[in-house]
Amino acid sequence: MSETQPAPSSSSTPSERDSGAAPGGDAPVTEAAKARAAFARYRVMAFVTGGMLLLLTAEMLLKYVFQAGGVDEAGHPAPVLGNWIAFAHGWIYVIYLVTVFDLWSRMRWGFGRIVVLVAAGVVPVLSFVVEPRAGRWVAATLR
Amino acid sequence: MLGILALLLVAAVVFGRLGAWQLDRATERGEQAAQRAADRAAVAGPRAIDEVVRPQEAFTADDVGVEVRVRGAYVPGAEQYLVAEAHDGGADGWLVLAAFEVGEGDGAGAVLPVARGWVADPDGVAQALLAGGDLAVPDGEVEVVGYLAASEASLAVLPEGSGPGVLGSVSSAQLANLWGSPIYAGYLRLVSSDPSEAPALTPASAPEPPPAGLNLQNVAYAAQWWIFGGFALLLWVRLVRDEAARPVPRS
Repeated sequence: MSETQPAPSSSSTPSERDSGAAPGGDAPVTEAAKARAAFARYRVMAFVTGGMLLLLTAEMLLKYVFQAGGVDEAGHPAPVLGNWIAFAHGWIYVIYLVTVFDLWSRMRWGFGRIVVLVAAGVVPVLSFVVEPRAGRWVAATLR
Repeated sequence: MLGILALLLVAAVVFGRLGAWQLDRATERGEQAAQRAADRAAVAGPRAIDEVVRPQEAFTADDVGVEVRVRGAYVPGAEQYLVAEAHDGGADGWLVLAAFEVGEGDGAGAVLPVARGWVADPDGVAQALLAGGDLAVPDGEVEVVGYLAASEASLAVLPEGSGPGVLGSVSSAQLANLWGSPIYAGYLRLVSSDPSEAPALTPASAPEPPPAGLNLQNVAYAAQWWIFGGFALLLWVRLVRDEAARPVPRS
């Protein structure tokens, strides 16, 4: 009799655990909520980083291409909007990377996606293109 | 997969090198800025002491080595003191310190310790010169030009074999007790004087400039590159662990 009964196969148990379908059904909800929170953090940083990057691009053009600020006493092009932009962008990008890594780890996405997300923070305008796409990835992963 | 892992390691190494390069740049640009400031000061010539520091006012690192011009007179009858100092990093000898009363501007009436110059050591020569009057201060109104130098902590222990009139260091606090106050929180290392100084004195060297600072922007870039390097390593570790956890596919 026992041979006809569909015994719980030993291989299905780990895969259930991996998908987050733990007993009680409570854990997946909080996991999804945490993932959404991670996405919200990423989203904020994507906008901030994208905005700062546009500002930095404008500053670089004004400073090096148009030399709108003239040159300083050492003969180097002088800042126009201020040196703080490059300084701030660097640190904002660091925070952006933290949110990207957090989101990517939680979503267990492939390597290609983190490359896209990382690149989006350093290529002007790309973060605004990638952000809605990341939203679709999150929706698909959590479904 | 192996390609990605290798690429991440290469990236981590490259980022680490970029961070080191930015740190070099930070040192270099800090030194350049200090050099430019020194060049500007050299072109501008000596400044009025009031523009730089006032009596009893805190003396900052930026004030060290600034060349200033002051008019006043050596305090008549004030004792001169000797402070041991090696000249140009070589021969032992003494700095000759005198009390100079500033006669103009905000510092009028305050005492500015002036290191009038340096005399070589041979035992007792400096004391003999002092006692013999060879190192008498110029009389009347004097215009002095020199480098500002920071006051030192007063030393209780005097150099071995030193006689009377010797101090362990140039300390404004100690000199205030000997000469009275108000006094400047720093002293002047004489470059030139009108009327001119006693021929027995060698002009004191310029004070050691404070170490040039780092360019903070480059320091921040260095830190960021290292963070990016750490990030690449983190990704590497993560990918390796995922790979290890994945069940081996049967072939």
